[in-house]
Amino acid sequence: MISGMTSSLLKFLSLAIIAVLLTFSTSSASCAGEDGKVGGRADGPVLELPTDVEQCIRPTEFMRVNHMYLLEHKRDQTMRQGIRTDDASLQGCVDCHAKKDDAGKAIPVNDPGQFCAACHEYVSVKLDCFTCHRTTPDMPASTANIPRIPAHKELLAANTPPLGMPADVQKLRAYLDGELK
Amino acid sequence: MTCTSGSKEFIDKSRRDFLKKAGAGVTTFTLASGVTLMAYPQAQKRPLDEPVSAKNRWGLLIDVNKCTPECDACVTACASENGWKQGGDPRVDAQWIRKLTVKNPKSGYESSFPVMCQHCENPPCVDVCPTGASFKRLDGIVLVDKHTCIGCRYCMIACPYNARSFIHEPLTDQRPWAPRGKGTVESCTLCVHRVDRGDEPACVEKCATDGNGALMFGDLNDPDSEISIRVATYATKQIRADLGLNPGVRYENL
Ligand code: HEC
Ligand code: HEC
Ligand code: HEC
Repeated sequence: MISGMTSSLLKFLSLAIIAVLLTFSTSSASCAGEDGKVGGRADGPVLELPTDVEQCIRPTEFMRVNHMYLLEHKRDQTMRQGIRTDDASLQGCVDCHAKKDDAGKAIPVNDPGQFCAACHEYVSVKLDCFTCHRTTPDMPASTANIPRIPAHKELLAANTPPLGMPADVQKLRAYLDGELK
Repeated sequence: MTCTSGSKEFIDKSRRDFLKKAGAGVTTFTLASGVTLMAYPQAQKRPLDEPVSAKNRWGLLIDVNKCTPECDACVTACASENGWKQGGDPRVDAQWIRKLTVKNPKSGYESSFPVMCQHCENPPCVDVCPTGASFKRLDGIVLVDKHTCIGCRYCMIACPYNARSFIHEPLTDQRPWAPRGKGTVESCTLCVHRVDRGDEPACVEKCATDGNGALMFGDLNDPDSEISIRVATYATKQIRADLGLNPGVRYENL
């Protein structure tokens, strides 16, 4: 009885692991997918990626899995310690990832189907970030002449050697802190 | 199709170097003989990627003699910098800074001055906060971490200066550097986003250009700063000093 349960549990677990592996391998092999679908799933969310820049602030696969950790880390650093690099800034994501409509007006990045909503709707994640944080890159008219933080594009111009995918939380933390080179 | 992003490279180090270079150097302008203007002296002290420390204690000095009742340059500057609106319903409007006019009934002498978060060394709002959202940065700036604020408003009750506001309505079109949203408490941040890049708070800047130059911002821990020298030379007051909170905001000629 017990061994029967264990074996069915094992079977279930291995199936689950295979399923997870499949999801990850297909997603990394297809990027946004030739049909523009994340994870190569027929019903997956369709993402419109920025066209004026080539890459994200980290490799695409890393971003797909870890963007929330980057954001949370950056949030605490800025809020509590006053660290104001623009790496992983939420406004930075919005600046790059918000689309423009035909009239040239920015579309809120959390509108249904937009970049910060498409995946989240698919996996039923609800963000509260945008009740406070601005959803478009453009400035309120009254402050239009205030200079912006340096453009991410400029920062991306120069590069350093690539870094492997962090394996565990500790490594991830060291990486986020910039200690891991 | 294979994903090429593995070969894409990181910007981390170069970003730091870039920022260090961008942040380096004190610019000194000579306006007239004997008058110099120093730009970004704090950015020199703390690069953007370094945490704040207790080496600094940011403070304000308000010269009540220079401040006039009809001027509200500091209030409008704060509102436009941080995106809060005036003139709606006073019961629910946010108010990060307000002008007070007080009159001595015996002499009839009137004085006017702004009151905002006094950035106490021992802030009661921090003591009462059940989630740790209300906190004091190492450099003395008292803030609400809205990510942890549950909107209980204990801090508003605890503050003897009535400096905090609660956001009652959903908001849109916020300033990128001042996220604000329904259900959280907020107050003067000493324009922390400006201070961190080496600028003065918006109220101080506008008081100098559009007002009467009554506000001074600086580091109370640096004995050579203009504000420390003034505080050491002239008699200044803290509002409700008897409470022992040691506010970072001081008043001269009050
Ligand atoms: C109740 C309002 C509120 C909500 C909700 C909120 N934030 Fe913030 N956030 C702020 C404030 C205020 C700051 C401080 C801004 C400053 O000092 O420049 C901030 C700063 C940040 C920063 C650092 C500044 C930047 O642009 O990078 C990050 C990152 C951040 N928040 C991420 C998030 C994320 C992720 C969420 C959702 C999970 C979120 N925030 C939800 C109010 C909010
Ligand atoms: C410099 C502009 C830029 C910034 C800033 C930026 N991104 Fe990206 N991001 C991109 C580009 C370009 C891609 C597509 C890369 C590719 O084609 O592989 C991308 C891809 C992504 C992906 C993967 C999409 C997919 O195909 O599955 C995620 C998730 C993502 N970004 C999230 C974020 C978040 C969160 C932030 C803020 C912390 C952010 N990005 C900041 C430009 C940017
Ligand atoms: C490729 C799909 C994808 C894209 C694009 C994407 N996200 Fe996510 N995001 C996710 C998934 C999946 C989760 C949930 C992960 C989990 O719970 O383990 C998530 C979770 C988050 C969380 C944590 C939520 C919480 O409550 O803990 C934040 C914050 C977040 N995303 C921000 C963003 C922002 C900002 C953008 C747009 C720049 C964005 N995401 C774009 C897939 C995506």
